[in-house]
Amino acid sequence: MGEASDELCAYVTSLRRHALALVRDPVEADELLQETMKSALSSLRNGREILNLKAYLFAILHNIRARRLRDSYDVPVHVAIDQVADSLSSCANQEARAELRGLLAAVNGLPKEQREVILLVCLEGFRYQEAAAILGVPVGTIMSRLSRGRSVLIARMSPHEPVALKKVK
Amino acid sequence: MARQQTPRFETPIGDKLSAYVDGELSEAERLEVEAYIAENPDAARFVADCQRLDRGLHELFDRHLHRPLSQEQESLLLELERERTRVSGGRAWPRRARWMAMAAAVVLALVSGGWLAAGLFTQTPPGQSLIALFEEAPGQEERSVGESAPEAAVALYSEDPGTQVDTAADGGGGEDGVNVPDFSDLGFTLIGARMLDSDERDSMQLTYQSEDKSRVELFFAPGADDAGQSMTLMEEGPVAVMAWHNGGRSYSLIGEAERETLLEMGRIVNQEWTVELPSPDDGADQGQVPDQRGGDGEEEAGDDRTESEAGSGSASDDVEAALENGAIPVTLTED
Repeated sequence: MGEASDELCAYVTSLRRHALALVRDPVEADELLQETMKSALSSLRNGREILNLKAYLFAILHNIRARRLRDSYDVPVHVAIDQVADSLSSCANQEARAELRGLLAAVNGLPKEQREVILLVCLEGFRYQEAAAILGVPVGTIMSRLSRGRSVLIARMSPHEPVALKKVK
Repeated sequence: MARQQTPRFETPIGDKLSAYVDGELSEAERLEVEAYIAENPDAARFVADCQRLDRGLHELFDRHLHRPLSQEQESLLLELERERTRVSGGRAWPRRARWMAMAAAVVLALVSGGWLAAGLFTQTPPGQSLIALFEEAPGQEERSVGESAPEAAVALYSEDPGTQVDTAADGGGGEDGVNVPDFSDLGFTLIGARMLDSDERDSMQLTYQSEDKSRVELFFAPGADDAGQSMTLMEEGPVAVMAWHNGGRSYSLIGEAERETLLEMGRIVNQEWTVELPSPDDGADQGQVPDQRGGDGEEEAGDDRTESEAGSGSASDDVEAALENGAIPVTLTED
């Protein structure tokens, strides 16, 4: 990636992964990503020194998204139908595939507040305090949304009672 | 559609189990939860399911990490990199932010490990006040050598380490003298000094800067005597940290310098510098002639990180964890 540092590359690709998981629509995700980066750029150009750039980027992304949701009544969703098929084609295991399909549906079905937290903590690896700052909520809220979200996702993850713990690899 | 099961764990134990999976519990809580899990197979299953869930999420979404960026995204990325480097003074590292965060994590761990007086940081949440500590440039809250009253400047800095200077330190009586370690041989000059606690006159933060604007901070405060003699020396990229205990005082050196430089500074502090700071209680906290300890040979073999042993095992773990996760509160404004 040219002259960009590994660290910054990692931030941006994580940001994109997060946007895609969050809004599901690849067009909107790209727009969010670009707006986020532009906004961060302009802050840096105004001389802001940012302590935690990764969290800052994610916070901007969430702010932009919140603003867009507020402003538009009708958010177009260009759902990519093969989103799931892509990731699952490498899965030889029928059961694993079903599980992932279930998981994807479950994640998409989560209330927005829970989905945000699940993705920030479980997927992107932010600490609770960072996630709280990113979303502008207390840490306690993060904890409860997270545990509730997890309970729901776990329940929906597999069509069967999880008998043995498989390492999905 | 999948048969839905009632979510198995509601608050508060659900929250705690969830936090346990994420490593967000305090040491005490963690032990509690582990005991609970040992007694409750359902809880163990929940924990395992959470881990399974995490793996599933990565399975689903990690492929997005590897797709190439668009043209526009690529150029924005490059611009961001340039901007970020520019803001931090033309270096790709050390980013002040990262080393501030790291230093804050270390000092925080030292506080929680009992090495520094807890009273130093009680006002605001430790993370925030430590960040603030490092963010302030000299001249704001600190007294800048030479910028405030010249007499104070003389009081704070002495060419001759080990000599007491008889001047009026800030707010002190006439007899009180202050001198500071002299690192000029190593290329570092004192640019700021600050009391960390107005009640605790014996706690200070000294800021040194080299010609290329690298900074080293020396903290010291009264420390528990039973913290042992061992020393912590760590390096994380361009930043090194050294913390030790001597003569009833805890010290830490944190900065953009090589570990050899810090070791040398530590030696100067221990061997050449005697401090007697003004204290409200007469003779309560006398500086002592330091041991011949200096830090040479105390350094453990190893590459980038070494850890001390005495009584700060969990502090080191906290530090490592904090460093791994960069778990520092974010400073944000409304966007």
